[in-house]
Amino acid sequence: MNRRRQQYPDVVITGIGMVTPAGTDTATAWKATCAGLPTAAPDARLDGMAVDFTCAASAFDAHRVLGSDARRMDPFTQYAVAAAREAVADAGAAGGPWDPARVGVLIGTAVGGLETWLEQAGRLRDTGARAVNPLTVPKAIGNMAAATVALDLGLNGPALAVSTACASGTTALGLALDLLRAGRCDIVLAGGADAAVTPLLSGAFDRLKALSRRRADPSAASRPFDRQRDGFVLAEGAAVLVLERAADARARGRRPYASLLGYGESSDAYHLTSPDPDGNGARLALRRALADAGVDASDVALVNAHATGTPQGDAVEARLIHSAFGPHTAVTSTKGVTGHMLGAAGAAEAAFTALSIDQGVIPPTANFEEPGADIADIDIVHGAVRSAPVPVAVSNSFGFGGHNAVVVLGRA
Amino acid sequence: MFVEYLTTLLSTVYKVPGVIDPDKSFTELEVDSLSLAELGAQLEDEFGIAVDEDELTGQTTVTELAGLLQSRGADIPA
Repeated sequence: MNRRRQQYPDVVITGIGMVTPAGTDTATAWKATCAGLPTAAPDARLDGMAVDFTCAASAFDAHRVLGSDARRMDPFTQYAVAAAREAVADAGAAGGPWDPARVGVLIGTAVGGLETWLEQAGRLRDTGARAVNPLTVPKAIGNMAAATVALDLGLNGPALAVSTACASGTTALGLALDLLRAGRCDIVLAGGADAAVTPLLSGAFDRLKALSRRRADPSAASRPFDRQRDGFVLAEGAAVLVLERAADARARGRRPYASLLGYGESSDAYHLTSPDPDGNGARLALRRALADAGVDASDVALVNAHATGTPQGDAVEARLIHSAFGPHTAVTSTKGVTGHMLGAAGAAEAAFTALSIDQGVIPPTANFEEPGADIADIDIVHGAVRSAPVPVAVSNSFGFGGHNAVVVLGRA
Repeated sequence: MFVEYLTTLLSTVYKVPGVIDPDKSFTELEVDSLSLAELGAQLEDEFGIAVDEDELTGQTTVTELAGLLQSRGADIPA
Protein backbone atom coordinates (compact mmCIF):
# COMPACT_ATOMS: atom_id res chain seq x y z
CA MET A 1 0.00 0.00 0.00
CA ASN A 2 1.28 3.40 -0.92
CA ARG A 3 -0.30 6.11 1.23
CA ARG A 4 0.12 9.37 -0.54
CA ARG A 5 -1.65 11.61 1.83
CA GLN A 6 -0.51 12.54 5.30
CA GLN A 7 -1.82 16.03 5.92
CA TYR A 8 -4.40 14.76 8.42
CA PRO A 9 -3.78 12.89 11.66
CA ASP A 10 -4.60 9.16 11.37
CA VAL A 11 -7.88 8.08 12.91
CA VAL A 12 -8.39 4.62 14.32
CA ILE A 13 -11.20 2.39 15.56
CA THR A 14 -10.59 1.32 19.15
CA GLY A 15 -14.01 0.08 20.24
CA ILE A 16 -17.00 -1.68 18.70
CA GLY A 17 -20.48 -2.28 20.07
CA MET A 18 -23.54 -3.68 18.37
CA VAL A 19 -27.05 -5.01 18.72
CA THR A 20 -28.00 -7.03 15.65
CA PRO A 21 -30.22 -9.91 14.61
CA ALA A 22 -27.05 -12.05 14.56
CA GLY A 23 -26.23 -11.25 18.18
CA THR A 24 -26.75 -8.53 20.73
CA ASP A 25 -23.03 -8.04 21.32
CA THR A 26 -20.12 -7.79 18.90
CA ALA A 27 -18.51 -11.17 19.61
CA THR A 28 -21.77 -13.08 19.13
CA ALA A 29 -22.73 -11.13 16.01
CA TRP A 30 -19.29 -11.55 14.43
CA LYS A 31 -19.25 -15.30 15.14
CA ALA A 32 -22.69 -15.81 13.56
CA THR A 33 -21.75 -13.60 10.60
CA CYS A 34 -18.55 -15.57 9.95
CA ALA A 35 -20.58 -18.79 10.22
CA GLY A 36 -22.89 -17.43 7.51
CA LEU A 37 -26.02 -18.27 9.48
CA PRO A 38 -29.04 -16.38 8.10
CA THR A 39 -31.25 -14.82 10.75
CA ALA A 40 -34.44 -14.17 8.77
CA ALA A 41 -37.49 -15.80 10.35
CA PRO A 42 -41.23 -15.26 10.78
CA ASP A 43 -41.94 -12.22 12.99
CA ALA A 44 -45.13 -12.12 15.07
CA ARG A 45 -45.12 -8.31 14.84
CA LEU A 46 -46.01 -8.70 11.14
CA ASP A 47 -48.70 -11.38 11.47
CA GLY A 48 -51.12 -11.12 8.58
CA MET A 49 -48.84 -8.99 6.41
CA ALA A 50 -47.87 -9.96 2.84
CA VAL A 51 -44.29 -10.04 4.10
CA ASP A 52 -44.36 -11.45 7.63
CA PHE A 53 -40.69 -12.25 8.27
CA THR A 54 -37.71 -10.13 9.32
CA CYS A 55 -34.26 -10.31 10.78
CA ALA A 56 -35.18 -9.37 14.35
CA ALA A 57 -32.93 -8.38 17.24
CA SER A 58 -35.25 -10.47 19.41
CA ALA A 59 -32.50 -11.63 21.76
CA PHE A 60 -32.13 -8.05 23.02
CA ASP A 61 -33.61 -7.65 26.52
CA ALA A 62 -34.03 -3.92 27.01
CA HIS A 63 -34.97 -4.16 30.66
CA ARG A 64 -31.99 -6.34 31.52
CA VAL A 65 -29.55 -4.00 29.76
CA LEU A 66 -31.09 -0.63 30.55
CA GLY A 67 -33.30 -1.20 33.59
CA SER A 68 -36.29 1.07 34.11
CA ASP A 69 -34.70 3.76 31.88
CA ALA A 70 -35.71 1.60 28.91
CA ARG A 71 -39.29 2.92 29.18
CA ARG A 72 -38.06 6.38 28.21
CA MET A 73 -36.41 5.17 24.99
CA ASP A 74 -37.82 4.07 21.67
CA PRO A 75 -36.23 0.74 20.62
CA PHE A 76 -33.89 2.49 18.16
CA THR A 77 -32.47 4.46 21.09
CA GLN A 78 -32.32 1.37 23.31
CA TYR A 79 -30.19 -0.39 20.70
CA ALA A 80 -27.94 2.66 20.27
CA VAL A 81 -27.35 3.09 24.00
CA ALA A 82 -26.57 -0.61 24.46
CA ALA A 83 -24.16 -0.54 21.49
CA ALA A 84 -22.50 2.66 22.72
CA ARG A 85 -21.96 1.23 26.20
CA GLU A 86 -20.37 -1.90 24.71
CA ALA A 87 -18.18 0.16 22.36
CA VAL A 88 -16.91 2.40 25.15
CA ALA A 89 -16.15 -0.56 27.41
CA ASP A 90 -14.42 -2.31 24.50
CA ALA A 91 -12.26 0.76 23.89
CA GLY A 92 -11.16 0.69 27.50
CA ALA A 93 -12.75 4.09 27.94
CA ALA A 94 -15.55 3.21 30.36
CA GLY A 95 -15.57 5.66 33.21
CA GLY A 96 -13.75 8.09 30.95
CA PRO A 97 -10.06 8.89 30.60
CA TRP A 98 -11.54 11.58 28.38
CA ASP A 99 -12.57 15.19 28.75
CA PRO A 100 -16.34 14.78 28.26
CA ALA A 101 -16.53 18.15 26.50
CA ARG A 102 -14.25 16.77 23.79
CA VAL A 103 -16.26 13.60 23.06
CA GLY A 104 -18.82 13.70 20.25
CA VAL A 105 -21.69 11.39 19.38
CA LEU A 106 -22.93 10.87 15.82
CA ILE A 107 -25.75 8.35 15.42
CA GLY A 108 -27.38 7.97 12.03
CA THR A 109 -30.95 6.80 11.64
CA ALA A 110 -33.11 6.36 8.58
CA VAL A 111 -36.47 6.19 10.35
CA GLY A 112 -36.13 7.26 14.01
CA GLY A 113 -38.74 6.35 16.61
CA LEU A 114 -41.42 4.89 14.39
CA GLU A 115 -42.74 2.37 16.90
CA THR A 116 -43.41 5.15 19.41
CA TRP A 117 -45.17 7.35 16.84
CA LEU A 118 -47.39 4.47 15.75
CA GLU A 119 -48.23 3.37 19.29
CA GLN A 120 -49.22 6.87 20.31
CA ALA A 121 -51.12 7.55 17.08
CA GLY A 122 -53.17 4.46 17.98
CA ARG A 123 -53.88 5.81 21.48
CA LEU A 124 -54.88 9.19 20.07
CA ARG A 125 -57.26 7.58 17.59
CA ASP A 126 -58.75 5.06 20.04
CA THR A 127 -58.93 7.04 23.28
CA GLY A 128 -58.16 10.68 22.57
CA ALA A 129 -55.39 13.17 23.21
CA ARG A 130 -55.45 12.57 26.96
CA ALA A 131 -54.14 9.04 26.39
CA VAL A 132 -51.05 10.23 24.52
CA ASN A 133 -47.93 9.54 26.58
CA PRO A 134 -46.08 12.70 27.69
CA LEU A 135 -42.83 10.97 26.68
CA THR A 136 -43.92 10.62 23.04
CA VAL A 137 -41.80 13.41 21.59
CA PRO A 138 -38.61 12.78 23.60
CA LYS A 139 -38.84 9.09 22.70
CA ALA A 140 -39.70 9.32 19.04
CA ILE A 141 -37.76 12.17 17.45
CA GLY A 142 -34.83 11.10 15.34
CA ASN A 143 -32.06 12.84 17.30
CA MET A 144 -32.81 10.96 20.51
CA ALA A 145 -30.45 8.04 19.93
CA ALA A 146 -27.53 10.48 19.76
CA ALA A 147 -28.88 12.66 22.57
CA THR A 148 -29.55 9.70 24.87
CA VAL A 149 -26.10 8.21 24.29
CA ALA A 150 -24.64 11.58 25.32
CA LEU A 151 -26.91 11.70 28.37
CA ASP A 152 -26.23 8.09 29.34
CA LEU A 153 -22.45 8.44 29.14
CA GLY A 154 -22.21 12.07 30.30
CA LEU A 155 -20.68 13.43 27.09
CA ASN A 156 -20.76 17.16 26.42
CA GLY A 157 -19.38 17.39 22.88
CA PRO A 158 -21.60 17.65 19.80
CA ALA A 159 -24.38 15.02 19.65
CA LEU A 160 -25.74 14.79 16.14
CA ALA A 161 -28.21 12.68 14.22
CA VAL A 162 -27.51 12.23 10.54
CA SER A 163 -30.07 10.89 8.14
CA THR A 164 -29.09 9.66 4.69
CA ALA A 165 -31.53 6.74 4.63
CA CYS A 166 -29.70 3.42 4.42
CA ALA A 167 -26.33 5.18 4.18
CA SER A 168 -26.81 6.94 7.55
CA GLY A 169 -24.39 4.79 9.55
CA THR A 170 -21.62 5.26 7.02
CA THR A 171 -22.26 8.98 6.73
CA ALA A 172 -21.93 9.22 10.52
CA LEU A 173 -18.48 7.61 10.32
CA GLY A 174 -17.41 10.04 7.60
CA LEU A 175 -18.54 13.08 9.56
CA ALA A 176 -16.86 11.71 12.69
CA LEU A 177 -13.62 11.46 10.71
CA ASP A 178 -13.97 15.15 9.83
CA LEU A 179 -14.53 16.14 13.49
CA LEU A 180 -11.40 14.24 14.58
CA ARG A 181 -9.20 15.47 11.75
CA ALA A 182 -10.27 19.04 12.40
CA GLY A 183 -9.43 18.66 16.08
CA ARG A 184 -12.97 19.53 17.15
CA CYS A 185 -13.29 16.31 19.16
CA ASP A 186 -10.81 13.90 20.75
CA ILE A 187 -13.13 10.88 20.63
CA VAL A 188 -16.28 10.34 18.60
CA LEU A 189 -18.81 7.59 19.13
CA ALA A 190 -20.19 7.10 15.63
CA GLY A 191 -22.72 4.68 14.24
CA GLY A 192 -26.31 4.08 13.31
CA ALA A 193 -29.55 2.75 14.76
CA ASP A 194 -32.96 1.75 13.43
CA ALA A 195 -35.87 -0.21 14.85
CA ALA A 196 -38.55 0.06 12.21
CA VAL A 197 -39.99 -3.45 12.17
CA THR A 198 -43.65 -2.45 12.06
CA PRO A 199 -46.54 -3.43 9.81
CA LEU A 200 -46.48 0.11 8.38
CA LEU A 201 -42.87 0.04 7.24
CA SER A 202 -42.99 -3.55 6.04
CA GLY A 203 -46.15 -2.80 4.08
CA ALA A 204 -44.71 0.41 2.68
CA PHE A 205 -41.44 -1.21 1.54
CA ASP A 206 -43.45 -4.06 0.06
CA ARG A 207 -45.56 -1.59 -1.91
CA LEU A 208 -42.27 -0.37 -3.41
CA LYS A 209 -41.49 -4.02 -4.27
CA ALA A 210 -38.28 -3.66 -2.27
CA LEU A 211 -38.75 -6.67 0.05
CA SER A 212 -38.20 -10.36 -0.53
CA ARG A 213 -41.50 -12.24 -0.58
CA ARG A 214 -39.99 -15.65 0.07
CA ARG A 215 -42.52 -16.49 2.78
CA ALA A 216 -42.18 -20.22 2.29
CA ASP A 217 -38.48 -20.14 3.16
CA PRO A 218 -37.54 -16.98 5.06
CA SER A 219 -34.06 -18.13 6.05
CA ALA A 220 -33.13 -18.21 2.34
CA ALA A 221 -34.73 -14.82 1.61
CA SER A 222 -31.74 -12.51 2.13
CA ARG A 223 -29.45 -13.59 -0.74
CA PRO A 224 -27.27 -10.74 -2.05
CA PHE A 225 -26.00 -11.09 -5.63
CA ASP A 226 -27.72 -14.48 -6.03
CA ARG A 227 -29.63 -15.46 -9.16
CA GLN A 228 -32.80 -16.00 -7.13
CA ARG A 229 -32.65 -12.81 -5.06
CA ASP A 230 -35.98 -10.99 -4.91
CA GLY A 231 -35.55 -8.12 -2.45
CA PHE A 232 -34.16 -7.31 0.97
CA VAL A 233 -35.23 -8.52 4.41
CA LEU A 234 -36.11 -5.81 6.91
CA ALA A 235 -33.88 -5.89 9.98
CA GLU A 236 -33.19 -3.79 13.07
CA GLY A 237 -30.28 -2.96 15.31
CA ALA A 238 -27.48 -0.54 16.05
CA ALA A 239 -23.73 -0.37 15.80
CA VAL A 240 -21.41 2.17 17.40
CA LEU A 241 -17.67 2.57 16.84
CA VAL A 242 -15.23 4.46 19.05
CA LEU A 243 -13.00 6.62 16.85
CA GLU A 244 -9.99 8.57 18.01
CA ARG A 245 -6.72 9.88 16.64
CA ALA A 246 -4.05 7.19 16.37
CA ALA A 247 -1.63 9.15 18.54
CA ASP A 248 -4.19 9.35 21.37
CA ALA A 249 -4.91 5.62 21.18
CA ARG A 250 -1.17 4.89 21.30
CA ALA A 251 -0.69 7.23 24.24
CA ARG A 252 -3.22 5.31 26.28
CA GLY A 253 -1.87 1.95 25.16
CA ARG A 254 -4.81 0.78 23.05
CA ARG A 255 -4.34 -1.44 20.05
CA PRO A 256 -6.86 -0.41 17.37
CA TYR A 257 -8.89 -2.82 15.25
CA ALA A 258 -8.21 -0.78 12.12
CA SER A 259 -7.65 2.71 10.77
CA LEU A 260 -10.43 4.74 9.22
CA LEU A 261 -8.38 5.92 6.25
CA GLY A 262 -10.90 7.85 4.23
CA TYR A 263 -14.45 8.73 3.34
CA GLY A 264 -16.27 9.75 0.18
CA GLU A 265 -19.84 10.77 -0.48
CA SER A 266 -22.04 11.95 -3.29
CA SER A 267 -25.65 12.28 -4.39
CA ASP A 268 -27.05 10.60 -7.49
CA ALA A 269 -29.50 13.42 -8.25
CA TYR A 270 -31.18 10.81 -10.42
CA HIS A 271 -34.33 9.30 -8.86
CA LEU A 272 -36.33 9.21 -5.63
CA THR A 273 -35.62 5.54 -4.91
CA SER A 274 -33.77 3.85 -7.81
CA PRO A 275 -29.98 3.94 -8.04
CA ASP A 276 -28.47 5.53 -11.13
CA PRO A 277 -28.18 2.46 -13.41
CA ASP A 278 -24.73 3.59 -14.55
CA GLY A 279 -23.59 3.89 -10.93
CA ASN A 280 -22.16 7.34 -11.55
CA GLY A 281 -22.93 8.72 -8.10
CA ALA A 282 -21.65 5.62 -6.34
CA ARG A 283 -18.48 5.68 -8.47
CA LEU A 284 -17.88 9.31 -7.51
CA ALA A 285 -18.24 8.50 -3.80
CA LEU A 286 -15.87 5.54 -4.16
CA ARG A 287 -13.26 7.59 -6.02
CA ARG A 288 -13.45 10.32 -3.41
CA ALA A 289 -13.07 7.80 -0.59
CA LEU A 290 -10.00 6.17 -2.16
CA ALA A 291 -8.45 9.57 -2.88
CA ASP A 292 -9.19 10.75 0.66
CA ALA A 293 -7.55 7.59 2.03
CA GLY A 294 -4.59 8.02 -0.29
CA VAL A 295 -4.81 4.46 -1.59
CA ASP A 296 -5.13 2.96 -5.05
CA ALA A 297 -7.91 0.61 -6.08
CA SER A 298 -5.25 -2.09 -6.43
CA ASP A 299 -4.52 -1.82 -2.68
CA VAL A 300 -8.08 -2.87 -1.79
CA ALA A 301 -8.38 -6.52 -0.76
CA LEU A 302 -12.03 -6.56 0.36
CA VAL A 303 -15.28 -4.80 -0.45
CA ASN A 304 -18.08 -5.10 2.11
CA ALA A 305 -20.86 -4.40 -0.36
CA HIS A 306 -24.09 -2.55 0.33
CA ALA A 307 -25.81 -5.37 -1.65
CA THR A 308 -29.18 -5.81 0.02
CA GLY A 309 -30.55 -8.50 -2.28
CA THR A 310 -32.69 -6.28 -4.51
CA PRO A 311 -32.53 -7.20 -8.20
CA GLN A 312 -31.56 -3.76 -9.43
CA GLY A 313 -29.32 -2.46 -6.64
CA ASP A 314 -27.06 -5.51 -6.49
CA ALA A 315 -26.55 -5.51 -10.26
CA VAL A 316 -25.55 -1.82 -10.32
CA GLU A 317 -23.14 -2.32 -7.42
CA ALA A 318 -21.56 -5.45 -8.94
CA ARG A 319 -20.84 -3.51 -12.15
CA LEU A 320 -19.30 -0.70 -10.10
CA ILE A 321 -17.09 -3.11 -8.12
CA HIS A 322 -16.01 -4.92 -11.30
CA SER A 323 -15.12 -1.69 -13.07
CA ALA A 324 -13.25 -0.24 -10.09
CA PHE A 325 -11.47 -3.34 -8.76
CA GLY A 326 -11.68 -6.03 -11.45
CA PRO A 327 -12.71 -9.65 -10.87
CA HIS A 328 -10.21 -10.65 -8.16
CA THR A 329 -10.97 -8.40 -5.18
CA ALA A 330 -12.92 -10.26 -2.49
CA VAL A 331 -16.51 -9.07 -2.07
CA THR A 332 -18.92 -9.96 0.71
CA SER A 333 -22.36 -8.84 1.77
CA THR A 334 -23.01 -9.53 5.42
CA LYS A 335 -26.69 -8.71 4.83
CA GLY A 336 -27.18 -12.36 3.87
CA VAL A 337 -26.89 -12.98 7.61
CA THR A 338 -28.21 -9.79 9.18
CA GLY A 339 -30.79 -8.59 6.68
CA HIS A 340 -30.96 -4.86 6.11
CA MET A 341 -30.67 -2.82 9.32
CA LEU A 342 -31.35 0.43 7.40
CA GLY A 343 -29.52 3.31 9.12
CA ALA A 344 -27.52 0.88 11.26
CA ALA A 345 -26.33 -1.19 8.30
CA GLY A 346 -23.34 0.92 7.29
CA ALA A 347 -22.00 1.14 10.83
CA ALA A 348 -22.36 -2.60 11.45
CA GLU A 349 -20.72 -3.36 8.10
CA ALA A 350 -17.82 -0.99 8.80
CA ALA A 351 -17.41 -2.77 12.14
CA PHE A 352 -17.40 -6.18 10.42
CA THR A 353 -14.86 -4.81 7.92
CA ALA A 354 -12.62 -3.63 10.76
CA LEU A 355 -12.82 -7.13 12.27
CA SER A 356 -11.91 -8.65 8.88
CA ILE A 357 -8.82 -6.42 8.78
CA ASP A 358 -7.92 -7.21 12.39
CA GLN A 359 -8.38 -10.98 12.14
CA GLY A 360 -7.64 -11.70 8.46
CA VAL A 361 -10.95 -13.45 7.87
CA ILE A 362 -13.76 -12.56 5.48
CA PRO A 363 -17.31 -13.67 6.32
CA PRO A 364 -19.26 -15.39 3.55
CA THR A 365 -22.27 -13.95 1.74
CA ALA A 366 -24.97 -16.15 3.25
CA ASN A 367 -27.43 -17.78 0.85
CA PHE A 368 -25.34 -16.89 -2.20
CA GLU A 369 -25.26 -19.92 -4.48
CA GLU A 370 -25.03 -18.75 -8.07
CA PRO A 371 -24.65 -15.22 -9.43
CA GLY A 372 -27.53 -13.65 -11.32
CA ALA A 373 -26.96 -13.29 -15.08
CA ASP A 374 -26.92 -9.53 -14.49
CA ILE A 375 -24.16 -9.71 -11.85
CA ALA A 376 -20.76 -8.67 -13.22
CA ASP A 377 -17.76 -10.92 -12.75
CA ILE A 378 -16.63 -10.31 -9.16
CA ASP A 379 -15.19 -12.59 -6.46
CA ILE A 380 -18.11 -13.11 -4.08
CA VAL A 381 -16.98 -14.85 -0.90
CA HIS A 382 -19.55 -17.54 -0.13
CA GLY A 383 -19.99 -20.97 1.38
CA ALA A 384 -17.54 -20.53 4.24
CA VAL A 385 -15.41 -17.92 5.91
CA ARG A 386 -12.23 -17.15 3.94
CA SER A 387 -8.86 -16.55 5.57
CA ALA A 388 -6.96 -13.81 3.77
CA PRO A 389 -4.85 -10.82 4.74
CA VAL A 390 -6.90 -7.63 4.42
CA PRO A 391 -4.56 -4.61 4.47
CA VAL A 392 -7.16 -2.25 2.97
CA ALA A 393 -10.94 -2.62 2.61
CA VAL A 394 -13.90 -0.60 1.45
CA SER A 395 -17.45 -0.56 2.85
CA ASN A 396 -20.22 0.81 0.62
CA SER A 397 -23.60 2.21 1.62
CA PHE A 398 -26.32 3.61 -0.60
CA GLY A 399 -29.66 5.09 0.42
CA PHE A 400 -33.05 6.08 -0.96
CA GLY A 401 -32.74 9.60 -2.25
CA GLY A 402 -29.49 8.76 -4.04
CA HIS A 403 -27.15 9.06 -1.05
CA ASN A 404 -23.80 7.33 -1.61
CA ALA A 405 -21.31 6.91 1.23
CA VAL A 406 -18.09 4.90 1.18
CA VAL A 407 -15.48 4.38 3.90
CA VAL A 408 -11.97 3.02 3.42
CA LEU A 409 -10.43 1.10 6.32
CA GLY A 410 -6.93 -0.25 6.66
CA ARG A 411 -4.58 -1.99 9.02
CA ALA A 412 -3.69 0.25 11.93
CA MET B 1 -51.90 0.61 50.68
CA PHE B 2 -51.52 3.19 47.93
CA VAL B 3 -48.74 4.88 49.88
CA GLU B 4 -46.71 1.70 49.77
CA TYR B 5 -47.56 1.16 46.10
CA LEU B 6 -46.43 4.69 45.22
CA THR B 7 -43.23 4.65 47.26
CA THR B 8 -42.22 1.36 45.63
CA LEU B 9 -42.98 2.79 42.18
CA LEU B 10 -41.01 5.95 42.93
CA SER B 11 -38.02 3.96 44.16
CA THR B 12 -37.89 1.36 41.40
CA VAL B 13 -39.03 3.16 38.28
CA TYR B 14 -38.45 6.84 39.03
CA LYS B 15 -35.25 6.20 40.95
CA VAL B 16 -36.02 8.37 43.96
CA PRO B 17 -33.13 7.49 46.30
CA GLY B 18 -33.33 6.36 49.91
CA VAL B 19 -36.34 5.88 52.16
CA ILE B 20 -39.24 7.95 50.86
CA ASP B 21 -41.12 10.11 53.35
CA PRO B 22 -44.71 10.07 52.02
CA ASP B 23 -45.43 13.44 53.56
CA LYS B 24 -42.85 15.13 51.36
CA SER B 25 -43.92 16.82 48.15
CA PHE B 26 -42.71 15.66 44.76
CA THR B 27 -40.56 18.77 44.53
CA GLU B 28 -38.94 17.89 47.85
CA LEU B 29 -38.39 14.37 46.54
CA GLU B 30 -36.78 15.90 43.42
CA VAL B 31 -39.25 14.31 41.01
CA ASP B 32 -39.12 16.59 37.95
CA SER B 33 -42.05 17.78 35.88
CA LEU B 34 -41.45 15.32 33.04
CA SER B 35 -41.50 12.47 35.53
CA LEU B 36 -44.71 13.84 37.11
CA ALA B 37 -46.39 13.95 33.71
CA GLU B 38 -45.23 10.41 33.09
CA LEU B 39 -46.40 9.26 36.54
CA GLY B 40 -49.86 10.77 36.01
CA ALA B 41 -50.19 9.04 32.64
CA GLN B 42 -48.97 5.77 34.12
CA LEU B 43 -51.51 5.89 36.97
CA GLU B 44 -54.33 6.70 34.55
CA ASP B 45 -53.37 3.71 32.42
CA GLU B 46 -52.85 1.41 35.37
CA PHE B 47 -56.09 2.18 37.21
CA GLY B 48 -58.38 3.51 34.49
CA ILE B 49 -59.02 6.73 36.40
CA ALA B 50 -58.50 10.41 35.64
CA VAL B 51 -55.72 12.37 37.37
CA ASP B 52 -55.92 16.02 36.36
CA GLU B 53 -52.84 18.17 35.95
CA ASP B 54 -53.69 20.37 38.95
CA GLU B 55 -54.16 17.28 41.13
CA LEU B 56 -50.59 16.12 40.61
CA THR B 57 -48.08 18.96 40.90
CA GLY B 58 -44.74 19.53 42.54
CA GLN B 59 -46.57 20.56 45.72
CA THR B 60 -48.55 17.30 45.94
CA THR B 61 -47.33 14.84 48.55
CA VAL B 62 -47.24 11.07 48.15
CA THR B 63 -49.89 10.72 50.86
CA GLU B 64 -52.17 13.18 49.05
CA LEU B 65 -51.78 11.32 45.77
CA ALA B 66 -52.50 8.02 47.53
CA GLY B 67 -55.69 9.55 48.96
CA LEU B 68 -56.70 10.71 45.50
CA LEU B 69 -56.26 7.22 44.05
CA GLN B 70 -58.35 5.80 46.91
CA SER B 71 -61.12 8.35 46.41
CA ARG B 72 -61.28 7.62 42.65
CA GLY B 73 -61.90 3.95 43.39
CA ALA B 74 -58.55 2.73 42.12
CA ASP B 75 -57.92 -0.93 42.77
CA ILE B 76 -54.44 -2.39 43.09
CA PRO B 77 -54.28 -5.59 41.07
CA ALA B 78 -53.64 -8.68 43.16
